[in-house]
Amino acid sequence: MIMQALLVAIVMFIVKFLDWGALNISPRPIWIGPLVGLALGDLQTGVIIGATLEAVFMGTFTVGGSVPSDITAAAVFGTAFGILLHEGTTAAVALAVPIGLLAVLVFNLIVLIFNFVVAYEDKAVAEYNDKKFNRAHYFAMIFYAGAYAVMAFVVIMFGTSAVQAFMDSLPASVNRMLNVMAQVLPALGFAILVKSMWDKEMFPFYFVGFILAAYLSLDTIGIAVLGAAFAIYYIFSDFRKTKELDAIKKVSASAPNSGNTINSEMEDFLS
Amino acid sequence: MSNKLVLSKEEKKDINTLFWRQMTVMAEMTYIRMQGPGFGWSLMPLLKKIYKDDEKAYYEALQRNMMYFNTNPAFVPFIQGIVYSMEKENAKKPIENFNESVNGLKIGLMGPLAGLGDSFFTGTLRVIAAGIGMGMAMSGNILGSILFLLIYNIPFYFVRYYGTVIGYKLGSSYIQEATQSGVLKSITKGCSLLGMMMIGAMTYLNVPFKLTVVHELAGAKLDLQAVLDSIMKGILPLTMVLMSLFLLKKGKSANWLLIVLLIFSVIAGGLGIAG
Repeated sequence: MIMQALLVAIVMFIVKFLDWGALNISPRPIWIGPLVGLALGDLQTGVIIGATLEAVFMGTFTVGGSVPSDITAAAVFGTAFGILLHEGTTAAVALAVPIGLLAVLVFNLIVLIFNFVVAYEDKAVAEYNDKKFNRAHYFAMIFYAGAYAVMAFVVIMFGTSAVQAFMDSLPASVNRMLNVMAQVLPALGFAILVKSMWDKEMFPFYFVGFILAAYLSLDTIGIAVLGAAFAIYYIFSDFRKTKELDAIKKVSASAPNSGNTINSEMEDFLS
Repeated sequence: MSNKLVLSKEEKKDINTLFWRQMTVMAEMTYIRMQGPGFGWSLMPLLKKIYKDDEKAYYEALQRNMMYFNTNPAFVPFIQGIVYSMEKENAKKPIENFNESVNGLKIGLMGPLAGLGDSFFTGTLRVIAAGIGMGMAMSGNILGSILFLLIYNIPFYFVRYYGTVIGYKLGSSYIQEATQSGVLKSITKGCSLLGMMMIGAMTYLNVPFKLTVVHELAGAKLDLQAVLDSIMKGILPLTMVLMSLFLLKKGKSANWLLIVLLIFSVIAGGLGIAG
């Protein structure tokens, strides 16, 4: 187990480092799953669990620095337990959701510690010492990923047997409940997404996408290309409309007498 | 526009430095200052170069650029490009109330750009990349994961690199023009059109909830799911998303809905009608 715990910790370090330490790559289960799978010697399962968790966490994303659920921790531990316990995707989802919520506590603790780092940096700049600032910045880059890696090692090393015992003690009906949970949670994610970009003029296109998938059996690439075509057409025509309206406004502003008639004509036309 | 974007060798080196250093803008993220300190750190060597004869001015510039700042990472370089060109002007000939104008510009730009970044990168591009990737990865094809990374990150880093160049060369007037002319609004709406279509498709493809119960009714077997399918394909996932959306818009929190769905799972699984 020590080898596996170490490998999972390394994956955790890499992902967290790429998230905040450098590059700011969007940490999503769809590519974290395969990394964990690779580390634990079961790439195929990692890919599948990653895709399943991606659907579950579709609506979970960071907006303006507030973190609803720690997606990285959820994906790493969910995939790792799914593979280590040979329980597959259902167990991965069942464990990933509560782990993601719990890991937010760890996240908040680290962000709290960063307040001291920032205070140290402020002092360094006030003292005209940019080398100190450099050091603090490099420390922060490593610390965030490092703290999570240590946590990953401890959880996998000492937690796996406990989780195994817990999963084994669950009756069949609980397993069915977990299955339902894995199936319905993406619905909430999609609802959150729709709400986050809510635009009542654009909402009808939600049904267009649904029908294309359900009744015309198009895959996502096909629908994405079709949607992009609609979107580009919309952007050009909407922008042209704005420009034309601006031009009309300018004309009516420069000629105040005739302005009213043009405006009322426009209103008649638009209504 | 292409003429205006040509950089001298010296400028190119500086832009590259800025591009790589701003990759660490989130390193010491806190809820109080957000990306601020990282923003200052990214500009450090350039500020040192600009104010090379004046240590006091250098540290003041550093301090000025460590204030509260937060936007979508995709547009951090763009704003840094603008700030860099402003700092250069200030070093040539000190500008009055420079602190206020730099921070005012940053605060003014970070809001709209965060909105554009969240709707384009988080709301649309990520959803498309995930939709395409999941389709393949669900069956165990690693290509799905790789496609996700490529579809999302190529435009992301493209915007980050050219954002630095455009911000530096064209300055803030460019984005003000874009906001005023309404092109940003059109793009945001176009993105949400595409995003909506993808989420609609994924509602059918990625919410696999089905009823498994088969009723015995007067000797005849009644498969409830088949009945539902004959009414409308994917009616259960669709209703589920629409109901969740309705409740979210009514002001219920996502966590409240999560608990409702967990209770639903317990009931549906416990009664054996699904799972």
